[in-house]
Amino acid sequence: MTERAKKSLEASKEVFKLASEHYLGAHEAKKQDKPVTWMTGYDPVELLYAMDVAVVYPENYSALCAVTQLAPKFIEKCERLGYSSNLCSYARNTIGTTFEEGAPLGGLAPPDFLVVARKFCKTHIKWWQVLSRRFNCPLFVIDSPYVTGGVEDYHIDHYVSQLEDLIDFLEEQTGRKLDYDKLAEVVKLSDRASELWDEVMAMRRNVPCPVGASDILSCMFAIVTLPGTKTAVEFYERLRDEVKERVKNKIGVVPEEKHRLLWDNIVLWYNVGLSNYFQKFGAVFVLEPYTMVWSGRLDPSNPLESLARKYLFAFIGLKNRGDAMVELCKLYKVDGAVMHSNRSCKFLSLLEYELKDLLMEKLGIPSLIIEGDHCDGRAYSDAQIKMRIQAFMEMLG
Amino acid sequence: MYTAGIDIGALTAKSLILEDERPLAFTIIPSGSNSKETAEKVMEATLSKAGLSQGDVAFTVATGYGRVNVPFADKQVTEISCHAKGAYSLFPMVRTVIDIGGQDSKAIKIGKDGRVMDFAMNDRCAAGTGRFLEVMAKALEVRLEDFGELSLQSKNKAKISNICTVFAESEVISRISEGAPKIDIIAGIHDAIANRVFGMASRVKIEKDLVMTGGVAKNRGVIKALEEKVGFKILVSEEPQIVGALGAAIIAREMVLKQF
Repeated sequence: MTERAKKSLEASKEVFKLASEHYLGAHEAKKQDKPVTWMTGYDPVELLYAMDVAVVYPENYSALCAVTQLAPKFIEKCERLGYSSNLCSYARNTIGTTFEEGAPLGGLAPPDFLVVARKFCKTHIKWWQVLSRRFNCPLFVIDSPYVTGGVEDYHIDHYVSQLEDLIDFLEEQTGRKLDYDKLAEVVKLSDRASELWDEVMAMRRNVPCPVGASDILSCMFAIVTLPGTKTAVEFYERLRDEVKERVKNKIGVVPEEKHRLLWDNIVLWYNVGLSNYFQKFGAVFVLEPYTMVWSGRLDPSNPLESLARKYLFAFIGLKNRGDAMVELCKLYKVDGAVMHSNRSCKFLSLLEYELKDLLMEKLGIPSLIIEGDHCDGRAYSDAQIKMRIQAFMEMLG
Repeated sequence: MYTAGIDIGALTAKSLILEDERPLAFTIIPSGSNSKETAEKVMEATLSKAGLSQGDVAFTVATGYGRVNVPFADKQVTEISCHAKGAYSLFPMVRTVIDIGGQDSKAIKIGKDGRVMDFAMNDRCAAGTGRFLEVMAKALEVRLEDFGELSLQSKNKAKISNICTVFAESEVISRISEGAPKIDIIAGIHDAIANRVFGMASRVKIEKDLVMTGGVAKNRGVIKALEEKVGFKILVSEEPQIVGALGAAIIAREMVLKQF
């Protein structure tokens, strides 16, 4: 009982084409002997784009597999190979697609080398090591400090030294030198995409909210996978203009906006249409911390340090996450929160009961916690989840 | 004015008719496999007990898992709101409701005005639900209705440590083969279910008065085990299984009154 998400924007219709071109483009690059690498979200992709490396994202690709309802086949393949069903379903799906026929868009183009940062996700390193063995290619691990307080200078120094090592690695792998002018140009484009993304997010504070989660989840594709490209900037200019127009004309997502909700954690990609169900109650998702974290302002005159600042993920721990969430709820006039306890992502799910208490205590905002998984729909129970949602809506009144 | 509440649960279907604020008649039957037929059957039975026909009922609210399959219902409301409403009408001092139904258990926090403030439910698992007890009754070859009284005779409850229904069943079978008396095993099962439900209900911060609703509330053994965890007496109405249907009928009445 999964359904497609209802979308409001013209820009969202471009996303599938953007994604197809991106993933097929990597196959094309491969044919032309251009290097291909696989990275995770929240890694300094700008450096790789500056070195003219084609980059694909197994996590984003797994979301695409789930949206198209193809993930179960690959997840089951991975489990047949002996991987635990408790492993993150993005990892299971990706590994499965490298062994099973029929992966969408021809599967991910095989990597020449791999790059991953050791950060909040504890699966990434092992997952990338598996991929490194699978493709018999070198792996570079960025040691990203785990920042639970504020970002300090020594965090930045360490991250910059890691980036310098990464540049050495990339120069060795590609046989080319990094062109710092090109890097400055990429960094400038990435900064512009972030600026536009932030602008779109800020417009969602308006009542009625001009754009809901369904559109934003599609449109985040470019800020995740294409920062530093002209494609992303041009796409976000169109998105920004369209959203601005809706704000000007006071066009909302639902005819009568009764509730403004926050969504916490990654979504159920196999059932993004769940937000349609909320809309039946006049409820709109105006804010998802998960879609907001991808932007980061950069300084072209100081590229490495600003990349370090962007990618030192500071949305960690109850204090940082809680304080940010409380402030955001105020800014976006949120009156209810829906938190997805995501079986695959313990890192994001762990604090939800604490965050729920915090929102109630500080702002009197009630939260609903629903159980699911971001990519594996096999354990999703539609009737159970919808009953909880309906009860929550009755409670909000 | 007559209003009706119908609660199609995973295991049983309940219906109740109110004459103004007074319950007139109710019926409880097994849910069966066809929700629509069950809904009609359980409603007809209550109508005939009350000496009424469908046309006499001003408004019907459906609740429970089968709430979407009640063709004659005027509105669908979740079990959370209905159990809260039903329990509040019976016990106005209620602050926490624990409902253990066939495939769900839930804890509801209630404000002074009877409004739902928060709720928690079991995750995707039958542990801590009526289904768990049913499976155990089968394994022990004991009638489920006798579970409560039997467990009260136990002086030495067996340890059932698995929270998974399937694994707990194997554990029960091991206890049987070890020669543990059935009364001790049943007491252990009640302790296991109480542990599970207590953990879930603690999320909404349990406060007095605590009312238990749903079919499992008829089981004295579960009530006793749960009272040991919370440390005070739990209130149970005479017929806890129909509290959801009662709440639905009250909401139906409120819907009609709101129209005037």
